[in-house]
Amino acid sequence: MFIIDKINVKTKDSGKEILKDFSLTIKPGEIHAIMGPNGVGKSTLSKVIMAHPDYIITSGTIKYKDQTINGLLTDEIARNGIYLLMQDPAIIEGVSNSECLRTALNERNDNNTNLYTFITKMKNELESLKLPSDIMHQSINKGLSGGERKKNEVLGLKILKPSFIILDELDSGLDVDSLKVVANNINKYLNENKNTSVLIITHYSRILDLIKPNYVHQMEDGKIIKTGDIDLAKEIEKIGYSRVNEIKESETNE
Amino acid sequence: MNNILLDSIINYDKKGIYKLNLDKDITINVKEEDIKIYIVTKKDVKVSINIFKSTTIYNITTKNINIDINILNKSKVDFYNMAITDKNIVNTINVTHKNKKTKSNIISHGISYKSGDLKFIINGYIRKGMTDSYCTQSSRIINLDDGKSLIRPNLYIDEFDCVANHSAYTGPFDEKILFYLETKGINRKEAFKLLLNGFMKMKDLPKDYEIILEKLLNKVMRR
Repeated sequence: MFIIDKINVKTKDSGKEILKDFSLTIKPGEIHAIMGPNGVGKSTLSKVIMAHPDYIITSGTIKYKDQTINGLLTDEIARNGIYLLMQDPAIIEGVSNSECLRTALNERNDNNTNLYTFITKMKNELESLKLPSDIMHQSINKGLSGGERKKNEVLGLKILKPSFIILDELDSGLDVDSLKVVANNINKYLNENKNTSVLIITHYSRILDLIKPNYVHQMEDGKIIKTGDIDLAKEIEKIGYSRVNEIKESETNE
Repeated sequence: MNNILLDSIINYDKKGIYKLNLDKDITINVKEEDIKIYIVTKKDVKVSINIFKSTTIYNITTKNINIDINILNKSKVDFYNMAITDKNIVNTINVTHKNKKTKSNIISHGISYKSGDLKFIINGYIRKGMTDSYCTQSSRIINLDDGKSLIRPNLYIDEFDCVANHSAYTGPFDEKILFYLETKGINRKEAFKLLLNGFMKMKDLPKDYEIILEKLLNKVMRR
């Protein structure tokens, strides 16, 4: 169970409040989507969960598997099974994908990663993601297109086997075909690991047709203002974020 | 530029891989194709390198070095400088294009740790008439702890028909890339190890040469 309980978050530099009394509960195996226009704090939320140093949680708690994770270091949170698929994955010259993922696996199992099993697994996953196998030995994300970088992140997901996945704007930079490949891979992973939960952060409902959420939340001004199912996403897609709110207000007036 | 009179000369005129531990001033002449030279500068030295045929040269150092590279014929030189220090040192590399259609690519990476103060002064010279020459340099220094650094990338160009460029960076590792590695579950120390290795090992190096670099990197990691 993943529980965010009334967290308030501000930026370290300017002290600007980004999340206000934000709460969210995700049960094992559930898929939640958070939608909202630019600048409402969606991506911030993903970074806050991962303890990004630019943000400070002033009150509230984040719990995962009955453990309070706010206060832990980023790598400790990741090793607890949370995987952030970033909107804009970093390019790291000189560090290869295989070095990075092998180190990450070694950190999880006390340097007991079997090299042969690891390489075989990497090759298979690269193939299913339709990525060239030499990417394994290349610098992380260097020279890759936006779409390939996202696929590369999905590779990390399949190797590290998290139990809670945050997909931050997965569809940005992906063409229709690549988005399908990525979504199929994630769905396959979710089928094989039934208790894995997902938090999808997105502007558009397109990805929600491919990875189907149990709940859709609309976010505004640092908190969730409306929760529904896929129909809410469709409604937002059809008439826009501001119009959805106008309808909500007129309903309240009536 | 005047050649400095040095007390010994090495001529490389057969293709192959050469390793060189330098503890005194020297002149190196590269006179054949397919030569790679792996240098470790163990003392403060002045080195003069005359490039008659295209070559690749690597240098690992913890000392003050002053290297003059003269490129002749239509040769190209790739020079990789790797400096690691917690002392106050200066690495000066002067590259002079002595002929038309000559090429130089100078890559210098350094780590300044503890209270180190590392300076790279990289001077590229293309005189008038040295047409079709390429002079490129890229320098980066990562500061750890209280380490300081300075890069002076200078291009002295007196010819229109040539290409010359430089890039330079000094500072710590970008927090964005550290965060990226940490989100994979890699602790900060291991992340630094990966980044320092990747930063300094710019190319595949022969095993025994790589070990020298690794020893220096381990010293940085153990601090």
